[in-house]
Amino acid sequence: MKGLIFVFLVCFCVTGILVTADENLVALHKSNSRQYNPDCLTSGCHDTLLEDENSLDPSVPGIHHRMIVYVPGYNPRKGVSSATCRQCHRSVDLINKSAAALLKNVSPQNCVVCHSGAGPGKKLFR
Amino acid sequence: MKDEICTRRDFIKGSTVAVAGLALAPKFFSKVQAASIRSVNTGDPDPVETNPSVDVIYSVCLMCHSGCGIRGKVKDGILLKVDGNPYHPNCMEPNERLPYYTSPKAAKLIPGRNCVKSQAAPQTLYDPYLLLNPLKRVGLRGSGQWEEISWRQALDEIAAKLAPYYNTQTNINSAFPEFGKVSNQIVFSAGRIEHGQKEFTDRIFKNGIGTANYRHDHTSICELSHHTGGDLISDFKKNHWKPDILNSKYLIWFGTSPLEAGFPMQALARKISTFLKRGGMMVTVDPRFSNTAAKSHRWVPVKPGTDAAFALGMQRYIIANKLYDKNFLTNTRSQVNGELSYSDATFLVRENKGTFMRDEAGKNMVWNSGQAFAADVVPGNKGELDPGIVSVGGIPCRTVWALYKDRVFERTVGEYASICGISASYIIDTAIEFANSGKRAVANPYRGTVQHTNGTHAFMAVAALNALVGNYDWKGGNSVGGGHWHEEGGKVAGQVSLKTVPGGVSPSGVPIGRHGKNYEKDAPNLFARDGYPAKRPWTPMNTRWNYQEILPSIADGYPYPIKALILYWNNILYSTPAAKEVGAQILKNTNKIPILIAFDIIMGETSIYADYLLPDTTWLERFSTPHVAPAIVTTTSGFRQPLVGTFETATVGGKNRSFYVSPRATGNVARDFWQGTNTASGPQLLEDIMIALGGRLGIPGVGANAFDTSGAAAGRNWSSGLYSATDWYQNILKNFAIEAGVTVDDILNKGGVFAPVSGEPANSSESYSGNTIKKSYKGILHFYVEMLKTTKDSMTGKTYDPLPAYIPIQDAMGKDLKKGASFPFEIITYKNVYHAQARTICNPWLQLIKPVNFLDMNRGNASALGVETGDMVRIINPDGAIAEGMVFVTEGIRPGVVAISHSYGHWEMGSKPVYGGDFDPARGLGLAQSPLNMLDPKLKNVSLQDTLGGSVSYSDTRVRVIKL
Repeated sequence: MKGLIFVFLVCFCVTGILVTADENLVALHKSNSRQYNPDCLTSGCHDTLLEDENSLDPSVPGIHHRMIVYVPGYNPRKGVSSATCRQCHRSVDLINKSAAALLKNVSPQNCVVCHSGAGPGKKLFR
Repeated sequence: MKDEICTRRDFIKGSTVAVAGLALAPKFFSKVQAASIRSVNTGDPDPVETNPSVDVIYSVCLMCHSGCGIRGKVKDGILLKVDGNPYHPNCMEPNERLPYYTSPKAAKLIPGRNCVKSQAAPQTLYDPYLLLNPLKRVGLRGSGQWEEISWRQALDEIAAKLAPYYNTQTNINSAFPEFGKVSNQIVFSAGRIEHGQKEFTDRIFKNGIGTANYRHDHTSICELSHHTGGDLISDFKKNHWKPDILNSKYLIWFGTSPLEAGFPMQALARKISTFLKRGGMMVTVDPRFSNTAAKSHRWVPVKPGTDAAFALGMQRYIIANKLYDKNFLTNTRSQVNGELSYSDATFLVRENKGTFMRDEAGKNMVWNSGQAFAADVVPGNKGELDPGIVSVGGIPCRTVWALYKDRVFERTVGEYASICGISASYIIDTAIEFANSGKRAVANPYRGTVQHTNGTHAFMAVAALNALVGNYDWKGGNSVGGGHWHEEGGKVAGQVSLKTVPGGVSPSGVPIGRHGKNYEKDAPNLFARDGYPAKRPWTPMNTRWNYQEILPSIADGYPYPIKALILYWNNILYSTPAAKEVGAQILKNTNKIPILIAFDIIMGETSIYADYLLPDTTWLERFSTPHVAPAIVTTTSGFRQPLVGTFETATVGGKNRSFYVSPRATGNVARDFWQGTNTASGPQLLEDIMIALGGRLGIPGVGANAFDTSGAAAGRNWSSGLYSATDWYQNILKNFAIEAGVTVDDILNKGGVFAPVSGEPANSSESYSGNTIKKSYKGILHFYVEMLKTTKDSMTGKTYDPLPAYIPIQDAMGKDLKKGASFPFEIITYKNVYHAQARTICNPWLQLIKPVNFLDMNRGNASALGVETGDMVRIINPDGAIAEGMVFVTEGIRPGVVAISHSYGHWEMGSKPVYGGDFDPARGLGLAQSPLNMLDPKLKNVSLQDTLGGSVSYSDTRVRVIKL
């Protein structure tokens, strides 16, 4: 129990996300865990991401603001759903189990479709 | 303003801001001071390098042991950011690395690469829980009751306590002269100590105090049997090889994951990326699906401790199908028939004794066309691999190859596969691919292979694969690396040998851990008394100390009792398997350890037991001269120097000298000693503390005429006296400059010396000579280690096995360990890319990446236990050690094996309030694997260990897991 309290404390301190004592960040993101939470946006976790997002250079929009309109299925009238998130953030970091990279990393293969020269995006991949 | 450390450091002009904070800090810890540093308005947290108020200081990282070059951005005395060093070969590949002739000004806007750990390095410097002033224990050991005292009081009292044992004349025990002199009862053990520091503390403890216990570093809990194995197969000429990855074609990683650990991790990972892009194939042999396994073409999840069986199975297939390199194997000497190195495959071995057949001149003999020849004069420099039993002077002999082949053929490929718990096709496919890749195939064993009770023989088994394809010294093959220039001097004319200590002594007798000593020969009186088994193991082939044996040997008073234990940046209890409980009991015992002194930067799991706890500077405030691993094929000498702090000048010993002052300190202990003042407070350099202590004890090697400068190159302002840490490192810089042909300014302003010192790094003629590596070994590779055949294991009384072998996991008496059903899981450990040693949990950015670690468990096992990711479990080992933590369910680990990553689960290191003050509970999160390892059933106060190579075992314990 002591360890769980520590987990709660540290998870709140380092991420700003409220995780209860019997949950942990890896399990919350892993679909085969009983702790799995499929709702990215309405559970107090990432619902303010778009509002809070700032890039290092304020003149450049954050990546989510910039790219969200291109996500397949995105409807500006309906807004963002968990399904929108999972279009890009498809896999949990299963090897490193790193909380900071749970669903953070996006496979460049997702980007190639548009950014390989044949698609509408700027050519970034060969 | 040239050629000196101190005069370059005017960049620290703003550091008085930090020091002012120090004066306000009445506490043991430097929290207030740290806060003052944070309160300084430095503006942009990452200013551009050309900003005139920003100093760019080159140094070397020590978040892990890779020795990567770094450079820090320092503004107003505050370290703001750490980048990689663009000159350093760990940080950049040959085609992008800056030529050494590039001016520092031109290099300013070209940062090198550094890893995630290095990025977090400033947090080591500004850790709020760092120790500030010397502490003297006032309660029981480990009670956490301390009195803050001055440096003068601390060093006066310590010197007075040590003085009776600084005695290089009197035997410890006249009945056992092999114990050496009374000075041997002063034991110095450094957990992590770097080159530059090592040579310095050898001067103090070995040649000054005269103790045989002068270093006791940590290598046996790291990868010692890998080094011992390397020594054995090379007649103690080399002990570390790595693949020339960029030019390799096929790599097998045994028990190591270079994409996340090992050193230099960032260089290994970058080279592997290029290797894979180029079409290279890679195999990872590891029970855990590591990052490297994930990028490999084949993951071979062998049972822990069976790497040798996998390697021998490959050899069975390679030999049976004649896929080996016959030209290499039949060569009888180096640098003949197109090869640089050679093997002992054709050497003749006496059937009766198992020793090499030698001629009257002592030369090894080989067989060629019906007669025996000395290996260096045989026609064509060729011997026969297997002429059968031949008679030399009436003595029947067989070749090494024949004996080795018999060993390999003791089991079928299927039987080897069965030992490993894998399909035979893994062995056969890997063998074919490996052999077909020729000299550009390399099998590389590391910690996971050798940190077992059978580690040395496992190393020998993997090394034999490399000998079969003859990959040594070939481009794309096995490399000894580019090496380094010599800080200690004595290599070229004009250098000053820092190892020479005028008036110094040479210690005698056996060290307390008994490494490098033969029980029968080096301790004849003890052997006559005790016979076999020895009370504790001796490791005569191990030339690098035996860390896990320090405390248990002290507890047993074996071979002799000690009087003082001095620990430097040393966390035995956290990092050593099975040491948490038994080690604490030993450290608490003031009869066994009458004097216990620790240097540390923070209250550690081990240093908390000290009688005197002395605040060390962090590595960002230190000097040293780190070397790099052989993955770098060009010569490299890094130079670590403080990124922050000031140098104060004083006239001492008739000369103006500089004395380093940490930003968390005032004054300097060494200067205080020489001038009779009492100004020092706050953390001090190890070297300055040792000079102040050595001066008090009156040992040779410090003060006036500490160096023999009689042959020194003129005009370089050498220091003949050793009055401060900077005297030592000034001389080192000059030694480097003379040997490498550069200036001291170059070294300071570029973070070291890196070949080529002229010309372009991408010019392959710097690294290669045709198809071979320029910095090559050119020596022998043994399949058969004669010394093992003639040396007895101190515990069993039997000679060691001279050939590569798969040996089951055993206790110190050579008895196989039981595999009872009540402890069904084998527990192993590994490192994450974002942590290294015990210390990185103190860096919040690294904590954030993964706040807590897990017990990794296979899905099938988890289902049977009814646990899912995030569930709590209790882990119990056969000795009753218990830990509780969370499970992570994965397919990425072999069923029956569970794993815990290193670095987590601290019980000190600022994870709890020692003085009732602030603390960071996050440092205590998760599981520590070391305490879950079992004790040796015979010895009962030390973990399982490889009694040949000296390595401790991290992966031979079985545990039970219970769902909570």
